[in-house]
Amino acid sequence: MAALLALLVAALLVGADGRADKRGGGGDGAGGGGGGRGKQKPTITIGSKKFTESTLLGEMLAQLAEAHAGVRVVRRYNLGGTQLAYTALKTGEIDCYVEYTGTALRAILKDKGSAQSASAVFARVSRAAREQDKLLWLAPFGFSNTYVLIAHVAAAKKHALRKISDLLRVPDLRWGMSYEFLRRDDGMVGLRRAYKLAPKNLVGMEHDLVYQALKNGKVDVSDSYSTDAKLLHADAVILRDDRRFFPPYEAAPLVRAELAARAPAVIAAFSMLAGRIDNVTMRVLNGEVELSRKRFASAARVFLQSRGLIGGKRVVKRRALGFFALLWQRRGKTLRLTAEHLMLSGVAVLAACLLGIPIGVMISRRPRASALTLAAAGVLQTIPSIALLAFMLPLFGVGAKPAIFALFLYGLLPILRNTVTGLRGVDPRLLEVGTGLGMRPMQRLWRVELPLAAPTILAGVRTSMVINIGTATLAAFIGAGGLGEPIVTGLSLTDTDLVLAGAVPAALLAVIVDALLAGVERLATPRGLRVRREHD
Amino acid sequence: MPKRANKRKDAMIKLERVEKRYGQGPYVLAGIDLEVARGSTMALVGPSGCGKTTTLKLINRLVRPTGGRVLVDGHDIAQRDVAELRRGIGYVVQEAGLFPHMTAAENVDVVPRLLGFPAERRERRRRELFELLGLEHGRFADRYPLELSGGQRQRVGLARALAANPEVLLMDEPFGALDPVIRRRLQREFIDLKSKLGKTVVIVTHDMEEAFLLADQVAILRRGALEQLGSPAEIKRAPASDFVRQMLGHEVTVDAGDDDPAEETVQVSR
Repeated sequence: MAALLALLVAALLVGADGRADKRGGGGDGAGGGGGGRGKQKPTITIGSKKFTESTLLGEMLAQLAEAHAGVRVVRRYNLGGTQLAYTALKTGEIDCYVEYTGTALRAILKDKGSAQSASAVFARVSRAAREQDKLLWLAPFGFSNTYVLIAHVAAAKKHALRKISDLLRVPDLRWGMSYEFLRRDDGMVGLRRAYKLAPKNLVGMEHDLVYQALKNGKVDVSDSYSTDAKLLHADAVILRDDRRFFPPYEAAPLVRAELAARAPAVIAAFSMLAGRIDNVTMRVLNGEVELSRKRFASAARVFLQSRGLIGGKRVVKRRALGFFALLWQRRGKTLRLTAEHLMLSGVAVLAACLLGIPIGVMISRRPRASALTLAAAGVLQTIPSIALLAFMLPLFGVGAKPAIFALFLYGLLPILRNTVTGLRGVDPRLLEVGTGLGMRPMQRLWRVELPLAAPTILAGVRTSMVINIGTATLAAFIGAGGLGEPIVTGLSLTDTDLVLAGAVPAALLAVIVDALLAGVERLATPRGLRVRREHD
Repeated sequence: MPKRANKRKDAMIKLERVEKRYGQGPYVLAGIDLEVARGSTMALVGPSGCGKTTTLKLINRLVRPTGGRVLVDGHDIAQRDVAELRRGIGYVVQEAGLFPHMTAAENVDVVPRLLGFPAERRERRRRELFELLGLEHGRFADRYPLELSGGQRQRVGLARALAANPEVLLMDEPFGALDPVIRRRLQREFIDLKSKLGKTVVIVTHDMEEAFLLADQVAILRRGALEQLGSPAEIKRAPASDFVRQMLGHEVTVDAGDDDPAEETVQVSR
């Protein structure tokens, strides 16, 4: 049994690897010989955390590397928060992403001390990264994206709020803080300590919703960061950090040390951006993507061209406005993402069938084993999908593998349960007749039990598939691609149309697959049983 | 009654001091001795819970005795491969027990298929049996059980039991679920059939009249024991007890709270 499971998982991983190769290979595969593959360009993988600036800077690095270092770049953006990106870098899932010195100090090194100078922090974190994790901090871009607390202008005016300590006077303000900020030592956790803040009225939310909430008057105080383009247009004021709690957050490329040996030209290309971007520039660049709706690639290209860092003068396409225009414009991409989506959920459900149906058969006549197995599968089902996906990261890293494995676990219960239910539902008199006529147990299983249970089993497969198509949209959070990709990106850009460009096809896909499988289910219903339905 | 000249014993089926109990429960059968002569028909009669179905299932080993032994054709069936034993014994149950996902033809072909008969031979045999049982092959072969009437289903069930030409036929309330007119007709046809085929038949029924009509020997069971054994004429002439007299008066006695477990229990051996 355990061997079967292991075999299955191994088969899945091999499948997932094949796919990754087609898209450009993982960071590991690129460095090694590649003898069989001929004169393929070396490949590096660039990641980003799940917000505009991280992805935009990542894209700039990618374009510089492509233009000047002659490498192929695999882009693994939107990896989620700091821990995910940092782990992905350490394990070699990616070769580089943009990190902030202050974040490294507080969230990675867990240093809770008071703020130091920018250069002191840089020296500290770069030494630690080099010695502990074999990672290199390259020279910072030149801006510092520190956290800021912001207050709605109306609240600020009413309570005369100018600096963070002013908040102590007004304890009943409504705080709406982004989830990551709430969790972080260099965020709300440390801030409470440093200022002795005790907000009575605090809710967590996705950072992307913060401005909306502020604008709608749902919250008075929130968090943001100093290069946030939306800050320019929001009805919010920045509260001064009068106790100097937030450390400097200089942004810089963080790379694997072995990359310097493997592809020194890449390091040189990355370094071209050192000191070239100040706070205002970064805010404007973020605005290009978030407010003017340029694509990451074009915003990055325009900037790099304007500074003479890459050549060429290409016309920048503005994204067509309106959902249907966007959908039409993205049709090719949507098709590819749909295929990817189907692959993720299809492979997962197939694996769930290969394991679930035989197990279901084995346990169906053993009440205690059934109860136990179904309970275990039920527990898996209760784990929130995003949490289950997160559990997979330490095991498989980012990408399709962990997503498929998580989806497989999700898909297991309906298939198991329906196999057991279907087999138990077979009339015991028919089983006795089968035995009485001289069928051996396996013959009876194939000729009597499975055909009669088939409609129920297939109904389970159908449920499993539909659940998985829905859940697979979350797989984009761990970089597995699929129709969740535009949803995740759209959320981070507060671009509803882009969200819908993923959500609508995903919903349609679920409906269509459900209908198709309903047809299969009808076909699999033995004709002799369908007769009754028609007569009833 | 055609009797083949051979040196083996006359008894086709023999039960020797057979006992059956489930776990430490009461005895469902308490030491039954029974012989069914080759080519004859034996009816097992009694109220529900008397052990008649259990006795029948001992013969194809759907029920394993906890004591004593069962011989078919002179061999202790405990020594034989159980699936092969069953393929050589026809089995008919109430409402025919046809597989609903198979057509009439597929149902009839079940045992020949298990025995690996080629398609041509299966079809020849099937057409033969359909004709014997008065079923038009072209009309009924491809119908599913739910497209057949009760009587037609029972004929298909009988054809299925006879498909591999077994020497022994076990029938558990074969005509139980049919309406009286159809039942009479099938009973008459069955009498005709059994003289044609010369099979050894054991039939379970709770209907004394049916037992007398169909069987050469009638075994009356009560609470897991043999109450009386004899030909219909013998039993009618000299009922052995009040219980038998009661049975003859068509008053069916139900031994309270003493259901035959074999009717409820499914043999699961996977």
